[in-house]
Amino acid sequence: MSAPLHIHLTPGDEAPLYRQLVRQVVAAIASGHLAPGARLPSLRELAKTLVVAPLTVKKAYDVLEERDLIETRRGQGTFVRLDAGSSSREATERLRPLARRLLVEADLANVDPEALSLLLDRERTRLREERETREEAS
Amino acid sequence: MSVLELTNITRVFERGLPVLDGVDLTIEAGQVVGLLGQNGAGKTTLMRIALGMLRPQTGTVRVFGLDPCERPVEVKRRVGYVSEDQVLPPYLRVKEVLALHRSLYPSWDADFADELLGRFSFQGKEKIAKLSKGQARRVAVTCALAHRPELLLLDEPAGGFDPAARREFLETALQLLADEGSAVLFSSHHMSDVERIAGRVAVLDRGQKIVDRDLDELRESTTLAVLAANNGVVPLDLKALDGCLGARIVRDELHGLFLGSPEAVRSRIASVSATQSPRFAAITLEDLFIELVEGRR
Amino acid sequence: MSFALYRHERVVRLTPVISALSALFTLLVGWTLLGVFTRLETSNGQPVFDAEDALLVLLLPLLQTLVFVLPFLPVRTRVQDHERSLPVTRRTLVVVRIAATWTALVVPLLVSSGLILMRLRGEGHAGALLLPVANLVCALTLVVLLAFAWKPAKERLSILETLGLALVAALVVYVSLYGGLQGIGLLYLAASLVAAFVIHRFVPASTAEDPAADTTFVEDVGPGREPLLSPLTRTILKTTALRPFNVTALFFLVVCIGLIGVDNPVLMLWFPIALPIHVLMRSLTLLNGFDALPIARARLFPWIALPTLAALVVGFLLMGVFPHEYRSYDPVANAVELDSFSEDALGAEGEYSLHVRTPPQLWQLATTADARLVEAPWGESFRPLPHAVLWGAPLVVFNPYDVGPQSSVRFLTWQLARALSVAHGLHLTPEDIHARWFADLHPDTKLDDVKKSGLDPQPWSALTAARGTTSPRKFGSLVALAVFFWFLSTAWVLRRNVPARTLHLWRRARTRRIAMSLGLALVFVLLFAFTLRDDALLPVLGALAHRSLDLALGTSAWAWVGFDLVLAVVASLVLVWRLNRIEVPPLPRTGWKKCEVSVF
Repeated sequence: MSAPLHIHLTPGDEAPLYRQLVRQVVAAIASGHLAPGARLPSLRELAKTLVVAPLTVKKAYDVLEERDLIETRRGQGTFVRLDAGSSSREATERLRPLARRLLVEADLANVDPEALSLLLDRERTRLREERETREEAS
Repeated sequence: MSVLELTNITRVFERGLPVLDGVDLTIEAGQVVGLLGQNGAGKTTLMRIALGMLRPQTGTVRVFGLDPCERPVEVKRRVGYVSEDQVLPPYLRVKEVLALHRSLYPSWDADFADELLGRFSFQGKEKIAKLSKGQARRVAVTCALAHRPELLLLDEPAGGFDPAARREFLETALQLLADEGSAVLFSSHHMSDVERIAGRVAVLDRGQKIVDRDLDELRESTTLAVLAANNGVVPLDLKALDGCLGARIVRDELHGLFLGSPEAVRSRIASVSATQSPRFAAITLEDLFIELVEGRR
Repeated sequence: MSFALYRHERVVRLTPVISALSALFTLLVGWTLLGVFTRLETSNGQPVFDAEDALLVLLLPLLQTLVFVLPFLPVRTRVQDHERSLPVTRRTLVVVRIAATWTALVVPLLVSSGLILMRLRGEGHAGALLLPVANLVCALTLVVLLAFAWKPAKERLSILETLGLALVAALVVYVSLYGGLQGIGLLYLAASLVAAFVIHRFVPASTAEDPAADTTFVEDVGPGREPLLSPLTRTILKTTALRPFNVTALFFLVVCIGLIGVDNPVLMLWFPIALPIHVLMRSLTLLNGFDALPIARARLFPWIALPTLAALVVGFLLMGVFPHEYRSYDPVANAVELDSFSEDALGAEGEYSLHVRTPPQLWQLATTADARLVEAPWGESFRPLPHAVLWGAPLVVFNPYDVGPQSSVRFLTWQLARALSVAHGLHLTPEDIHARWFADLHPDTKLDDVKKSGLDPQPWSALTAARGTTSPRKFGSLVALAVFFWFLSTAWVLRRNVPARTLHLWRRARTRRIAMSLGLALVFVLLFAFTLRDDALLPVLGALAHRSLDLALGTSAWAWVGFDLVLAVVASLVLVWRLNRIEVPPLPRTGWKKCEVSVF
């Protein structure tokens, strides 16, 4: 049984659908919604639920696989890699645009750097708490 | 062997300009090609030529390796066709329309047809004449899909559908695609539909194919550069640049659509205008289409 | 408001064009036809005119008006969909439609009748034509009113109603042409009163549709009510052969050929060619609905093309059952008879040269003047008048039993004896004939000196009536003729829809088509002006062709059936091959024929 994925694609967006898919799966892995070792839905299943071409899903999975986030085990399906959460230089690189966006937004909203780091700390704590409660539940 | 192979197709109607002018298009099994173009760009003519309803003046048409004009029945049996102006006999009931198609297509899948009918919430006893336009189109779609065609030619299939029905239709087409590996050539003005199911897009403009690429690749390799208009640079300057797909003036901005990364485009534009530095905008598929077609005027 | 509606009716806007076409047609065909009817009689130069022929001349403008106007006529549609949204009552719409239809029918008719009357002005017959013109206008008015009074609550007429209406219309036109003004006048008055009352009383003011008629979901159909034919067959039938227009046109085809005949070039081009072309063109357009389906064209062919063939065959067979009487001044006749032209159309006495008229199959072909020489045993000879087959070519047909003003009475009796024996198998000696019917004339008297008025044209009718004519029934050749016309018209329609093979040719297609139409028009005019002015020619050539075929086939009915079948099959094979190569003509989306867009 694969984990429920809360993915919503918006055609008409600036990013191509497969990019959106990659972004959301990465976010799910990062936030722990997709735990390492979790099974991802098959290409056809996901394509059917998202109403997109199977090729689009395949493309996204390929990208994810290239980034060493997921792996396909022959005859069993696609799984999140056990070492998916571990950071690497590439991951930092990936975070750079997000960080930049955060800074720009903060600047626009007149949030000074101290308030911003405070905000980041608070969110981090909340995320950790959420992860712990989920682990207890399972 | 390609499912559909159009080579150097030219078609002229009795009066006026060529509707198609040397168009090539090849579709392999399992490919979904979105055919984009403004009204009158030749999309419908291309589809009709692919089905052998029209003959091109030059070039060859091969569907499953056969010439659809010479062996129309064999070809049409393996193709599903939905068009904008499709009509069904108004005096027949929905069930009878299905029976009519069933008698013509040996590969008709009655269970699938029933499933589709149910999905579109028909009982089968309704007379076509009493159906609304959208409902009648659903019956036509059912007829085009239920024989599990190897090639689907969809000419504005979802025109007149409400959003829910359009989604339903896409789901059905995708299911067929996944089950059978059918090839699909479909034209639509709904870019979001194209984005959902097309792997490749071909853009027709005034009878010529201007783009034929993988959809995502096209989107990621094109860049829209925005400059201030009335500043010494005219669209023609941009059009002369390498990799320029189109340029046009939108109010006080000059838009140029380029193939290549922003950095490469910036250096190319610098050769035309030393003073201006372009701004790069991320665009949606719809904008891309508009820039592409309008920028060639 | 209603005048604005009227002005924008398609037929009204087209009326000037249709009138111009009618005028052109009248000038080309009508006047030439009049030229034929009032031509100088070949031997003595006297004009000949017949009132019945004048009616035919009048029918012509009517026919062409119908042919030009019918495609645009909203006869079966009372209220169009987009008109429902207009802020007018349905009654206004119906009245506007009646007025528009009437205008489109009557204005061109008046234009072409006027032209004919102008042509006849100097000849004293004009007065005789005014009555039929008035009658025709009355009849058309009545037809239009009837068309719209017919079940006014419905938007469109069914096939049966259309057919019934066509029958009534044909009857009314017929009565109005051959009946006096009084009878039709009364009928007209009564019918228009009824129609006006019906429209006033029953055409609802509201343009909304009856809600009771709009039931999207129908109740369960019992097993006993399942239609007999498969949906496919039913659809094909309803789309092609059973289209109301096609049924009506084919019905007209049968009636027109069967009752009016095709013995002159106008009718010949009109009924067996123009009408099938109309039907076929529509059927081909309707193929749009089948074009994307995997149905072989050969499978559709019978439904598209065979109804016209059937109509033509039935029409021609009817023509054989009710043989057309040759007109009084024709040099050909159904039986051997004396032609003395004792009176003309207006009843004026006039004496002309005496001729022996014979059935066309007794005529002969000749290429030289010597071949035409007929010589009696005692040395007296006569060279019958030549009827040129082709203008300028030496080939002629002639009546070898004819006599001239310089022939003697004895020569006349000798010719009659030969003719009666060949045509009716009545073996009488010349002396016998002289004794029976010309006893008061001396054998050596010149025919020029014989008083011809009051001469019985067929004094031998009592003897020949029992025997009939030896001329065989021409059914076999009539069917062959039907196949020929069918092939011609079908091939022409298909030819129009075969796309040009190369780009270059395609660009020239339009020019070529215009050139072809002009060429056809020219041929048409030339046919009239030079060759077919001679009324004898068509029947004679037809009869000669039939005779030679009959000789070849040994006069056996089975041989004829086989011949016709082979002809039909070969023609069908060629046409199917053609049909496979055509492109189905596109549906008109905008423009003139917008209301015809429904395919099935």
